[in-house]
Amino acid sequence: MILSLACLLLGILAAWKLGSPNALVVDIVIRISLGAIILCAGIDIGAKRSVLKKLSTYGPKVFLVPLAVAAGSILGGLIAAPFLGMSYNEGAALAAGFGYYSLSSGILAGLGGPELGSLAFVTNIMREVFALAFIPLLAKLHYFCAIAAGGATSMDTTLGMISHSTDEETTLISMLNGVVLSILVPILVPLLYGSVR
Amino acid sequence: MSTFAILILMAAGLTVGWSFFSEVKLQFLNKWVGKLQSIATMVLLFAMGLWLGGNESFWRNLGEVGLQSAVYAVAAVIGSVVAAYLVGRFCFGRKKQ
Repeated sequence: MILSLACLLLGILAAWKLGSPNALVVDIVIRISLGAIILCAGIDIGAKRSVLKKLSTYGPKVFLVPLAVAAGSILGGLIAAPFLGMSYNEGAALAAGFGYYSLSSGILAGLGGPELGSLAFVTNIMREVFALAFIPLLAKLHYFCAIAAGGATSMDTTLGMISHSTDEETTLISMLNGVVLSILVPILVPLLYGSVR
Repeated sequence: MSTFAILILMAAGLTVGWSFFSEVKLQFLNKWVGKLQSIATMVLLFAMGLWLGGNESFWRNLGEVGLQSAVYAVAAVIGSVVAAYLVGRFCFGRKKQ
């Protein structure tokens, strides 16, 4: 996370000091790295076969958790958008990153340009930071609230904090939640950006 | 990058991950996939940084980007926490508090 942030700042500084590079080259580099990110994300989720199989043994009710997290996040983005002078489709798509900053910033950079991509990056990094800070507190409200704050990161970067603040069953639901939301990111972000206006 | 291309790439990744990378013998490869993803993310952000740094409107709206992202992050967290609370409270009973 810090390394990625450093790379963004390095790029900004380089363009500022040395002048902007060829736009076509930058565009091609963005597209190739985006492709690699999506492919890797797919492999990473697909390889969690044991977690995906557990999904089927849990019954349909457990899907309510990621669905609620997805709906709540998107609703939050929709409510925030007009206050920031942005359109609903941008707000919904930014919130539908669910904290998965590499994937959502890549997709939105590809669909809406680097400006929107970097906004997605900072937004979703902030979500991860807020989640890490508030998970212990939210777990006191309800264990599912701790999972919700983490969003798609509830299967990796915030999982440790969630398992520390909740119990074993919640930790497993947290992983399922992260897997489902990660699969939803590449589906919902383009869909919301393209259709909700 | 079109929506279609994004979904095709994701589906291809899922298929490859499910069929090969979940085998116990090949799980060491997952570490390399993670590394490749980190490197690709760094390259992506460096390229986006190059684009932004040379873009005049970015320098004019720098403070706005910080504010917008903070508001979106807080809004998404609050929205999802409230929704998860309702689901936990009304669909899963009184447990886990």
